[in-house]
Amino acid sequence: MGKCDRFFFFKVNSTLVFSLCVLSALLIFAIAGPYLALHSYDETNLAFKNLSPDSRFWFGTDELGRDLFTRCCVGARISLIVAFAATFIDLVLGVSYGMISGYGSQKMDEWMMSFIDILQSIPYLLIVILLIVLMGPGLITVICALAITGWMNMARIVRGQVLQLKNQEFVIAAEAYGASKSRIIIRHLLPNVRGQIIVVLMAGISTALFTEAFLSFLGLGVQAPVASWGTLANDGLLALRYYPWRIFFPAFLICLTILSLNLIGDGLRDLFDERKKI
Amino acid sequence: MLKAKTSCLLLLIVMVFMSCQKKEEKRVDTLNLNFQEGDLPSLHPHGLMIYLRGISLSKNIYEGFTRIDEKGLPQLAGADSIDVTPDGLKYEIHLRENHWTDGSLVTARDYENGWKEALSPTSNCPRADLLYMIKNAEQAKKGLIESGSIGIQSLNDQTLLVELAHPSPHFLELLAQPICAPLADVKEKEPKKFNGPFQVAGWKHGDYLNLKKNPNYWDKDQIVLENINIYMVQDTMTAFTMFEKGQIDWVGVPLVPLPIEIISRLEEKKALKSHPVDRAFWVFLNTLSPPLSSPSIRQALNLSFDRKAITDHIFTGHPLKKPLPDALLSIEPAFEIEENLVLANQEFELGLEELNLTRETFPPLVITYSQQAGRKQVAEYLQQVWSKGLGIEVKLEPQEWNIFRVNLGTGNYQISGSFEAAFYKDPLELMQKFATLGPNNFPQWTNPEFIEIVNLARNEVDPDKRINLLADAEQILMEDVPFIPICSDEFIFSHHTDLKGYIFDCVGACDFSRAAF
Amino acid sequence: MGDRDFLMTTHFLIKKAFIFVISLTMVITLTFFLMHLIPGDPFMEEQMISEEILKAMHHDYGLDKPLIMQYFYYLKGLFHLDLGFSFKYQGRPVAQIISEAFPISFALGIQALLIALGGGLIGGSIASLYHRKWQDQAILAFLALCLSVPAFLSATLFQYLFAMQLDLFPVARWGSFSHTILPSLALALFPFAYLARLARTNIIEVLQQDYIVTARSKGLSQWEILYKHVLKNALLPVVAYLGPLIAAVFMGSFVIEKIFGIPGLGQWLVTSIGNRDYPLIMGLAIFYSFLLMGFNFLVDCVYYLLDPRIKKGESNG
Repeated sequence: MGKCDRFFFFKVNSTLVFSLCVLSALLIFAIAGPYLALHSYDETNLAFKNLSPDSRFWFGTDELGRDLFTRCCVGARISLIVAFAATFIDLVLGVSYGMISGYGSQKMDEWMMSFIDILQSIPYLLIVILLIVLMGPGLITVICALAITGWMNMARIVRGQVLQLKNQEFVIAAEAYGASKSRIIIRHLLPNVRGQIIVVLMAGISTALFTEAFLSFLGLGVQAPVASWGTLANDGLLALRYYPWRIFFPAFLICLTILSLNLIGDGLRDLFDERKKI
Repeated sequence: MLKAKTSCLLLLIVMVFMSCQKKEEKRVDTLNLNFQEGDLPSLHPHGLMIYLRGISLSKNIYEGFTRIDEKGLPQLAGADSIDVTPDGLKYEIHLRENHWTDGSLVTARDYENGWKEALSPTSNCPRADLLYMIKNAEQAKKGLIESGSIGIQSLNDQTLLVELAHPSPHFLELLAQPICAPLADVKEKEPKKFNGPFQVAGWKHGDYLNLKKNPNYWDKDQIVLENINIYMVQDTMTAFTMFEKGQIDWVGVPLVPLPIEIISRLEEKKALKSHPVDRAFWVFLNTLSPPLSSPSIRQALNLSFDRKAITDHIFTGHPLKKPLPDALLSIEPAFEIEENLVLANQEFELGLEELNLTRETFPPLVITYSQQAGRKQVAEYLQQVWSKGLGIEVKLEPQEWNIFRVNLGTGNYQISGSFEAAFYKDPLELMQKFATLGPNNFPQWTNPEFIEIVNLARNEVDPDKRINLLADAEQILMEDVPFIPICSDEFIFSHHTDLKGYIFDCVGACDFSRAAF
Repeated sequence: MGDRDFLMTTHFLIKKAFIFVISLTMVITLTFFLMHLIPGDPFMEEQMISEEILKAMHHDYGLDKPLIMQYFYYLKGLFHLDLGFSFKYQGRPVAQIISEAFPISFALGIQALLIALGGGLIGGSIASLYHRKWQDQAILAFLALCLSVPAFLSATLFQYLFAMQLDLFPVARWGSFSHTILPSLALALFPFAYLARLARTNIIEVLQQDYIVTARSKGLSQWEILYKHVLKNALLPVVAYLGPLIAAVFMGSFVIEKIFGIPGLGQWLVTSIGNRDYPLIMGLAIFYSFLLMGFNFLVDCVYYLLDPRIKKGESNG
């Protein structure tokens, strides 16, 4: 059994390392890409529109003749910021709300869950339009729009787990010992919810990226000619049949990001589990 | 356990394959169309007026006094003959014998009731203003006069007398529009009786609309089609795929707007047809918003880019180097817009002087656009050419459509583009919007000379004098630049190879009643 | 004992009903005022409409009255169970629009849910069984892929491949069973991956517990262990996600319905807001509220069924 463990440890580590490499590559792509590229991201040249990838335009061009490689680099910045913002919101707002709701009194739980129900029932588009009117379009507004409902799934699932966990022996024992609420949350509840948190987080990032694209389409998000991967995918959708590279590259980058984040999350989680065992 | 699972799987696979596609034969008596912009809210002719596909539909289920032919000229339809007095104010319309779908006769009273209903102050007919050329119509709609004094009177079952407020050469064109359709029952919100070439056989909201041939139509021998099926698939690519598979027979405006990518492919296949329409894309400049208050700045923006790039790559149609397309006003202006960056910069310098600004202190301009097709690309293109060519900062602001439209009307924007369409071949229709301040004067522009000429033209009886006055008005538009004309529109479409007999009018609506394969 | 349970249940239900009514009222009030707060006009069209006509239409629909009055007028209508008439689709009751479109979204949603739930549980179970082997990583990668494909892309690809090129299914619209396959597959893709990952995570954790080792030492097979002991415990997060998922899926996915031309509820959700069709927006919000809160209530009941340790009516700490 010991040999298998070490082998697996190495394997987990290698996937983890590989995914971390991919993520770093994406970060470099985002930060340094526009400076290394041959063209600028907003240089329109209608004579070059819809060209397939070649030596001049590594990812091809879009309908206004702009280089897709640079646009994907710029898009990487926006999308990665959105992804990290979503992660942060999910973790901070979602997890703590779910914890408090699940671990608190039943009355508090009912009202907290009702609050989520109410907020989720109000048509999201209305809230979005209000945000546009109040704050004007831009990346900050998009992040606010995501912050309003993005954390709710996380809160629900964490709350469900906590409801189940809080009646288990080890929690009751810790309470009997006189441990403070926050200690119980951090030392006993959190580790057992970790797995779910990672799953919901990954799905949340995915949803955030696509919601950002949808919001940008409505006029909420980043201003043209700046683009995100989501908006690039949106723009390229109609051209799927005839100029498929226009949607292939942004979609591929989104998949790559989420995949590597997933694997990192799983790898980290397995790493902690290993430590716990050892 | 394993057996149960595999048999379940097998059952599923069998079900899936059994439900697979069978090829359907093409029926030559059925026309399949698609409304990409979605279902129509109602089939009431007054409501159909505001949608191009609505006007297209109304040509098939209602019969007005006239019908528009391919050149945009009205031809007699529901009317047998129309007598006009020499002063152009009184029209005596004699009805042809035509029946509703339930067999009853279409009478002059039906027309009178329909028009008066549109002009009633309590009805919500959105385009009732089109009827304002009729005597006392505007006052009746505003509630100032009884409906009895409107200049519409049915002398008997077969004759209608209409009196106009001022002579208009375009009254006969108006008679073809759905707002002038007869109404069998004024109280009904959804008409049950139709007097056109087709009648409504089935309507499932948001899903499909079936028309079948109307056996009571006066000209039924000319109608070849037995059925028209209208689907409501709202995704453009899906509709195009259905077209490629032969499930719908028409693709392209006004029913299914085509994105530019598909258009270029269809062009290669030589399957593309086009028809000129009286629409133009204008970029409105809010004259009340500094720095656009200076005509020189506006002129600089006007001259500094190449319209052909837009019509080649973004919109269909032809570059428009004067405010009104030739189809509406064919008199050559004294000078055309000359796209010249040097000139533009000269104008720009003049404007800067006027406003006491320098290029550095010149505030950034904001272009707002809605999510409709091509608007974003035009905005991006203009942003590029203006920032490169004039050295200024231009920002873009996408807006949700409803907000965008409201902002245009209230003047809450700086630079915004929109298509303008004309119902008649009368330049006055579009130009008079700029003669008064109001929600239809998007640039919030006042020019006393222009207003005076427009008022003169409105009351001018002599057609030659009238056209010259309107040409002068157009000249003022060119010098003062309340809006930048970009292109005149052209409807691009494609259809089943055997389809013929459809009639496209210049408003952009299509009459399928006489179509055949 | 029976009496006490009965009393607890009635007390429980009354409390839930009370909370439901308050929540619903909040939703109605917030939506109503939010809706009127954002700029826009229900009678906006491409063409220009003259001022007096616009005023007449506003007056016709009572839109020129003060907002509070309009609000109470609407509430009064609700008491008579009247959702009003749509502004844009004149003469059509909001209730009729919803009742025509909902069954279609419902049918599509049920199918997608069954696929997602079934596939998710099976997929999660299989992945957990191969934990720490390469098959687990492969399944994880596949699930991550499913999570990272947006709905409009998956729907378009399915349509292009299976309907357009291979001719196996209809391109669009609704009617026969074969019309439902591609849309429900596209709709189920994301929830399937989500549920599979949730299930897998929990199953793995439960599998590491002591009582499972005991069961294994008793000689039970993997599948039997899974079925008898694991699933009940592992289902909780799945159920937590199901509540809002069901409500969302029954309201119709706007993207899927648009691409496949399905006349469901999804299109109304988006177009009603663009049209500023106030009665329809309100009607849809109320309807969604019912669905969401109803399903969340069911979810909470299922929690209790799955794990009786989650006691109801007991305050903690």
